[in-house]
Amino acid sequence: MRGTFGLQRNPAWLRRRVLLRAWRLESVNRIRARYSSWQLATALLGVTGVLAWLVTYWGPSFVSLAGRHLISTGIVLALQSALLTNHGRKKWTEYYSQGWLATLPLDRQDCKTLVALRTCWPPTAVLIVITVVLLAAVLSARITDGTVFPVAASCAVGTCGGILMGWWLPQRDPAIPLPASSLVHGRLGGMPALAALSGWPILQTKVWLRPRSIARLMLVALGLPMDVSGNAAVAILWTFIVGLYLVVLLRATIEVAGQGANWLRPTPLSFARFAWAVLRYPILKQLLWSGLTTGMLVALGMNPFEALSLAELWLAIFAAVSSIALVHAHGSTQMRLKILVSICCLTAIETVKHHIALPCALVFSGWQLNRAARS
Amino acid sequence: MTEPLLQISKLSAGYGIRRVLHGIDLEISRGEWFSLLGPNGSGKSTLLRCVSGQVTPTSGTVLIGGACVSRAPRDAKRLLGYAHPPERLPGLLTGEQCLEIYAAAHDLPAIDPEVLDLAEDFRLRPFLNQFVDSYSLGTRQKLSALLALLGNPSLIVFDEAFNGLDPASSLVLKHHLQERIHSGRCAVLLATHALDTVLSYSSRAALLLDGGLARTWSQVELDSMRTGNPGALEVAMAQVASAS
Repeated sequence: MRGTFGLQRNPAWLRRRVLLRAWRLESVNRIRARYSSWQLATALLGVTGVLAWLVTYWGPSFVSLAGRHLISTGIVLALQSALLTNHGRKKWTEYYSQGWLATLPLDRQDCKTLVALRTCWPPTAVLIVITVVLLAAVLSARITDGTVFPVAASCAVGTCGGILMGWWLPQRDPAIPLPASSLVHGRLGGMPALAALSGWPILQTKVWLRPRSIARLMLVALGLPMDVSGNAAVAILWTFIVGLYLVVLLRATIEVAGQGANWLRPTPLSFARFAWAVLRYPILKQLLWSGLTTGMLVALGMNPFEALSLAELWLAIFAAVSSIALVHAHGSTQMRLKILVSICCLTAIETVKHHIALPCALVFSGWQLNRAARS
Repeated sequence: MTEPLLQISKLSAGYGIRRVLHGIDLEISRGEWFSLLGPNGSGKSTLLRCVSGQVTPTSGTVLIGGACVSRAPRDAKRLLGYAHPPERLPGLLTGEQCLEIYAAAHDLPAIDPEVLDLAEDFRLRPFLNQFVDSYSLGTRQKLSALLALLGNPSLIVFDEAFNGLDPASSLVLKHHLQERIHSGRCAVLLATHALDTVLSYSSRAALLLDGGLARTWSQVELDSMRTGNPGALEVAMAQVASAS
């Protein structure tokens, strides 16, 4: 027991260690079950590449934008951390109170500690990534005007404040996302259609990103003093929320592609009909909100050329990722690797030559979907 | 002799490097209720997933009504009704929406009135406008059965479909399936552990052990067990299992 400072013999620590060990094993096994070593190495390289690209290409303009709106940057980070924390707290509280560990003879305090650790981990990881990116930007001398450290401090304060805010905000309501009555057609026996399949990604997005949760956060955020005019503050928050919505909508499209394909595979539904039904509403929403966000970024002072390029890159990523998800509907490791590689390639293409990533992604998606439909 | 509705020949399948099924040969004709028995992990669900095209076999063929499931999946699946395990139903759709999507996938002009009547018999109608997420296990199981019966399929595949159903609904479903079978509209392939269901309703049964068919029981053999010694099937299964 030398060197353990008595921790090994402390009953509370031993109990907590069981939970920590379960967490570690679950995480490690989840990764091992999905990825081999070379896939992990490739993913690491890909992530490093994307971070390097972020630093060299977008870093200076984002840091200068954030430097001009320090408090707003902090508030955006706070909102994001609050959302992650609020969602995480509910998820992990349910997990430790109703999951397979719930019947173990553990103190409530031990479970609370684990809930807190697991809840705080995602926003902390985001802060770590931001800090690493900013440090890399300073070390590579891409940014030299001294705005980095105030931005980093603003992000750190925002994240910590957001974690506290998300922890103490009221929890989301459980289980059922919307009142059933809003979806009932009352026409059993009428003409069947795939409309419900089209609405599924949108509904999934609403469940993951409840307007009510965001509205609560907006109220808190708007009560804080900002270093910009009221209009600019609302524009910043609006851009943040729409950006969040677009990312969650993409994630929901991937989820629905997988779940829907699993569920409908034993039916004679053709791939083309299935793909169109799943994609049509997300495509419309992505186009509409990407366009509006571009306008808002320009209004906030971003170079129109860069804002347009950013929107095109996002749409290219959406096209490539959603088509890959539809073709590999099982959520296989091959799918994840393809998604990662396609994101890296598209960002590299857009960096080298503007306005090329979107046509490339559309050709790639069309080719992939066509091949899947034929097979 | 009529052509078999389901023809499985030299079927092998697995997940990654793990081989689950090997050398399965099986034929099921219209008007038959075929039960598949076997211990946990013996490959029953994998076999059913091969039949429904969810798992691609490593070798061998599965033909439904003469159409190969892997080469002509749409033709094969037009004849197939597969009941998903309850946990795989989409939680964010209502029961009604699930029925609508399945009916549209089968190109039906409307949801079968027969299926809606069965929903009534199941006392499921009040739940159809609620999210599947809010359903109990039994309610999900009922919805899963209804989805499998949409479009008047020729081959109905159930994977432990009576688990979680209340006795009354279970009886309704069994009688409904029997009615379909007796009218020669379909064949039923059921994976189950319930030996009483096998003895009372099946026309043939087979025991799957370690990925291979270890023993099959004909209609005559099942009839003799039914009338003579109802415990004989259990004993026979134990004997086969210990001999292998």
